[in-house]
Amino acid sequence: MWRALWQYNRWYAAHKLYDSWFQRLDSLARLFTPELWLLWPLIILSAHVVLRRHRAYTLLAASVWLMIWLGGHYRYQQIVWMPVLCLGAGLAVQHLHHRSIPSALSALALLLLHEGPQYRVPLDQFSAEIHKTDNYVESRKLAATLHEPFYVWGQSPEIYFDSGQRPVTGLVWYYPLIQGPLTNELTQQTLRELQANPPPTVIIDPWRVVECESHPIWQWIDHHYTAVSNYWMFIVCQRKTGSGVALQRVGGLQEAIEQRQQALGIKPNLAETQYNLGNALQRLGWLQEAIGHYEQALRLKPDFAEAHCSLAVALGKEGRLQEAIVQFEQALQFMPDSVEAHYGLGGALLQAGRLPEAIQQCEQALRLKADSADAHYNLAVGLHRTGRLQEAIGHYEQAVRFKPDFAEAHNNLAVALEQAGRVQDAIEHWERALQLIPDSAEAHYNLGVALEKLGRTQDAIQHYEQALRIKPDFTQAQNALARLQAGQ
Amino acid sequence: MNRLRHWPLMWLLLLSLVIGWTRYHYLRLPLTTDPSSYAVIAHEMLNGKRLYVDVFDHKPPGIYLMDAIAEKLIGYGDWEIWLLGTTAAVSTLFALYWAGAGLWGCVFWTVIQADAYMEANAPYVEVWLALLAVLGYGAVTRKRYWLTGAIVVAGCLFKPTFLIIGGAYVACALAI
Repeated sequence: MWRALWQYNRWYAAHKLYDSWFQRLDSLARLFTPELWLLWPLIILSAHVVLRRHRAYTLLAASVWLMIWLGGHYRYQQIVWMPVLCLGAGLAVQHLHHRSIPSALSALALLLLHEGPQYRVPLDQFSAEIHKTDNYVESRKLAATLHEPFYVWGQSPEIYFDSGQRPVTGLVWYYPLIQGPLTNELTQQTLRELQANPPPTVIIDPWRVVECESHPIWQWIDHHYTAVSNYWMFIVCQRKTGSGVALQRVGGLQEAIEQRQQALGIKPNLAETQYNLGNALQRLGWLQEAIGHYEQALRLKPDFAEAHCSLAVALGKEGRLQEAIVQFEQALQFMPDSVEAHYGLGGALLQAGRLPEAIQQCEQALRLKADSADAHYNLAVGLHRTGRLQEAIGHYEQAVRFKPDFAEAHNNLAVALEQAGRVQDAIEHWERALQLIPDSAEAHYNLGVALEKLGRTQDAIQHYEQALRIKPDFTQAQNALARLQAGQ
Repeated sequence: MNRLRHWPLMWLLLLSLVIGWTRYHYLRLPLTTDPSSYAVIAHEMLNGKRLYVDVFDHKPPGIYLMDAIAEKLIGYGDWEIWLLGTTAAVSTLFALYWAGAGLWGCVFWTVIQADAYMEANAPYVEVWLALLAVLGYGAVTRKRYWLTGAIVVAGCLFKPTFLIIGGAYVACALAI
């Protein structure tokens, strides 16, 4: 009790008092915002009481003002004013004698005009409007999906309340873990509780979490949990059951949070915000989540060509080719000169096996932007598959010229060059591809084959072995290696 | 004559019903950080955890006590929040009348007590401070100084800065 009520509060109170004077002025300025106009009829009536030198009421009003002023600048702290002003207004009506009824009725009418419309606004909408964020609405929705114990890293105890689940630690919000005189003590206590009883799920509430990269609890979460999905701005992490692919996702956690904060911190109800968030998630490989945000962006702004285009890319990566093609076509409907949409559609058509249409789209993209490496690459792939090898080589070369670190283009160019009999040239591009993606078993194998053709057996064996280290069940590499070793 | 004497009470009961209804309107309002932390901590206390030892927060115990009582009475969840808000607002209504605001003051209060822009529709610590501020005013103007002192102590169990209002009551008692 001592540490909470004295040690922590002494720091907390000092912290509050050191708040800037501008914030104090801000709390005064709030009275002039349209939302708080309701107080003015009551303020005017109460002023009448003060001017009549009603000492008891004046003292009460002054002390309430001082208490709120010292307490900070949160809107809800002004609640204390409400009955005090009603008291003042009630006293004024009694003092006004023959003018009391018109004054009271006027004040009442103004108050009703202010309050009445509030009851017509849906609650979720109101919450979002007042707090300038969908945070609390989405917390409630997320909570409805949580049926087992969890820990919230962030400032959202409402998730515990809304879910009905009991918190697994004694601290239900994390602010004292990152600031104040008890930081170390509370961190150790929380860490002990988490270690003793690790919950299956951790919810990361991204607001301000980026400040805590070196925090022991954050590091503990990062080490033991895997980000598996996101729910609006919250990131849902599950306890790791092994290593491998899951670990790669944890690496992206910090970046995801930072980007989501940046995006959602501005205006979450904007299509552009949802679009940016979708892009951030897509970069992290969280395709399902990205698709959800793009769809949200398109609900808010159906003619958002870039969102159609990015959604198509994500759908394509998910293997939903037909849907991707539809989205690219819609993007082109709203923005016919979009290079990305043209070569993207070309790429999707290529995957769907519709080669002539794919080539046509890529050519259109290059007419709009001759130095588009992606368009050259997609066109080259289309030409390569239709057997137009020399043209394909030309476009692969253009692709790597405009984008020298385009690993796939180097690899495909090498394949095409080898098919054209230019093995030495092919080896150079495979080597370049392996510099860019050293863990590509296919590139090692292909390079091994090319080296074998040139009679460089030892080099070929090294690359076959490397391919097998990366992909032990690579049958072609196994056979090639066995053949070369038998020959020796 | 008797009937006339009971008129204010009937008005207050009617206004209480209006308050209950307005609070019911906000029953499913998504709760914010502070009120939800009070409810969660109170819930933990009712499950055997010790405040400031097993569960940590830096606020005095009054708010957790109110939430725990509400949970005991009506259960954990949205209805608990409704009960807290309604109880505080109805109590403030009667306190206003007792403090001398008259029926007009009570009507004004009924209209604004759940104002969403002020976040007055959620059970923040401030709703209890507001109630106690008015009650204390009523007590001091009626020269019931022991009651005033008890109210100041109760206020400090919600927020120590209530002492400032306590200071005003002392000045008030000296001035009357």
